[in-house]
Amino acid sequence: MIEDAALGFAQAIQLSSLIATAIGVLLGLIVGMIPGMTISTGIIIVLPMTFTLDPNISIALLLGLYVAGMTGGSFSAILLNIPGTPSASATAIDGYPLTERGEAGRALGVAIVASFIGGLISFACLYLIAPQLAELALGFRAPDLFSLVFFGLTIICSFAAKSLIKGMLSAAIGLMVVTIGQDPMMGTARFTFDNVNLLAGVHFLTAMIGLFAIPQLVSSICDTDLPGKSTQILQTVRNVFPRLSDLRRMVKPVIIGSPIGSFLGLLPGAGGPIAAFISYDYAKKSSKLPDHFGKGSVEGIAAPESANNAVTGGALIPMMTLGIPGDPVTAILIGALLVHGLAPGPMLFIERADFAYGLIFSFFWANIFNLIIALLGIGTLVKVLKAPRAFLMPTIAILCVIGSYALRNNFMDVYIMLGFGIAGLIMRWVDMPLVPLLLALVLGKPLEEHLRVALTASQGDYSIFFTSPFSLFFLILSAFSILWSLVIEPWRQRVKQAKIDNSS
Amino acid sequence: MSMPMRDIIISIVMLVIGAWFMFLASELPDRNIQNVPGPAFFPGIMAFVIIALSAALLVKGLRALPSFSLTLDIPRKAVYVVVLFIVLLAVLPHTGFLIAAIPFFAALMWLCDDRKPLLVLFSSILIPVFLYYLFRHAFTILLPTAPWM
Repeated sequence: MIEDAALGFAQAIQLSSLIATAIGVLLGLIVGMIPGMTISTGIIIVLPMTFTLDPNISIALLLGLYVAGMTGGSFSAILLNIPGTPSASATAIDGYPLTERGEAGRALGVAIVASFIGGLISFACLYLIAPQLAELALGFRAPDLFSLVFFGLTIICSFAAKSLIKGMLSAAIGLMVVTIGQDPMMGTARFTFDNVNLLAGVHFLTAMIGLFAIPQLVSSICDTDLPGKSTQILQTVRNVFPRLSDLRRMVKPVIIGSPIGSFLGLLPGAGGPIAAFISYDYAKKSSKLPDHFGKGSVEGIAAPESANNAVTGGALIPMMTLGIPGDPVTAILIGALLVHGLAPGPMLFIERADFAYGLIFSFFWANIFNLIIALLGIGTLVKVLKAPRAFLMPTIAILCVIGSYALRNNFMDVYIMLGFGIAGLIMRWVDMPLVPLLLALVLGKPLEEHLRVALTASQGDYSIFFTSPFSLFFLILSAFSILWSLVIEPWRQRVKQAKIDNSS
Repeated sequence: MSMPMRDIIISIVMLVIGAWFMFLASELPDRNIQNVPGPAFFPGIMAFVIIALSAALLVKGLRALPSFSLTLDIPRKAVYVVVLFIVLLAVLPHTGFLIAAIPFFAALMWLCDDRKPLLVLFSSILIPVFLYYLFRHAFTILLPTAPWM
């Protein structure tokens, strides 16, 4: 393990990897900062540029974007009260009041340092937990793997809060789409309509570009009420380096936020926004000055920012060791790895341990660069908030076309991308969540494969899923996950609402 | 258009698609190996799930429908963007990337309400050309060129 880690460290510290990480961080800060642009969209746009790069360099760039995107989201939350990413929503509660008091630089500095510490703590978790979990996962057989993937799919419930039927329908569409192409066990052509381009199936990166980038593009073009206050705010961004007194005040919320973020990152579906709000809540409850929360409290910025950046390292653990994405970004990262012929899962630590550790150490460097670039470059970076959309949106549109074409140098992929783009627009129109479809596209193939291998081995006996201890464990977890989303969480919300109603 | 009305429309569309996939799945060749699921096994389950969920959504939509209305409330700009994409993809194989991308870029800039003719002209030429050469030389990704070039 030490040898592999040393190899990985050596890979991550190569000049080309470090430059890629720094570029990724810079892009991530910009993408995260622009309201309406998500980290997923940012990664999707950058992805085609990485196809011909070395996998280490490519993943270093994408990790830089992932980590910095979380921090960048807080910039517009603090400066404009518009969270750049959903994870930065909690940061706006205390960040914007500080900006209104003319202390934007102070708020940004606290957010950047808290993000850095959260990221470092999640790096420690990633480094310590991932190899152990991968070793455990090596013992999994087909029924265990099926139940594990099924558990990964149950996170759909947490993305289908508004309508479970629509969430499940979205996932079912995704699972149907993955059956297009050659059958994974017998090689039978399914739903290809004699088109050779469809034999390899629908590449899920093509689908992702369409599903995420096109609706985003359309809504950005349609939305004309975007921020126009940046000029006035820009003048107040100074004194970014946190004072010693602020650093002292950050200790407690960061100690609360970082472990919460790392843990929730591990759980599929929980993600940055939940981690940020939970840690904000805990930080407020444990603060000596809870009344200051919501009025520009340093603790109120530090807790959610450390938590949402800690989520990134946590989310990489199931992605790397089990091949299970915890959020849309890690789902796209799985796609990026597959493009380079690397399958995330326990075998990654056996067959390409150098790469796996290289990824972990690139994550570390991403956090270091995030701190340096954000602190030193914030004055210039916030000018992006003034960048005209008229350049940005057409460029994104062109990159969508290039990205889908470059995957396999095939026009069919571009048509499929547009098809998914239109499907994404229709889904938005009927308020059907996109994330379940995305997760189904990632998990659909292994789900079918493990299910059929398990049933073939057991001669069609379904009890195989209940007799294996690991499989049973994951099925129980799945049942709990579904129960939590459908029964316990709505009940908690109702109780909370009732308390608010009674007190008012 | 109200959300229940949208639910009804999408559920009917998905019912048709689900039924079609179920039919296609039933047509897939079966290897006749006893107790071993064949190629139609998983798609068959998924088609059934789609039909069941679409039926549930249809019932939900019908129950919640306040009044029957078929007015589409899709922003005009959204339709323009989709049409522009369709036109781009239709001409791309014949004209290559550069010739197709330049007017596409200009049209999108126009839609973004930037209508200074010189700015639109220069950026719609410079940015696609820059991207074309960036991908061609820096990332060695060859973007399509016109067959006659």
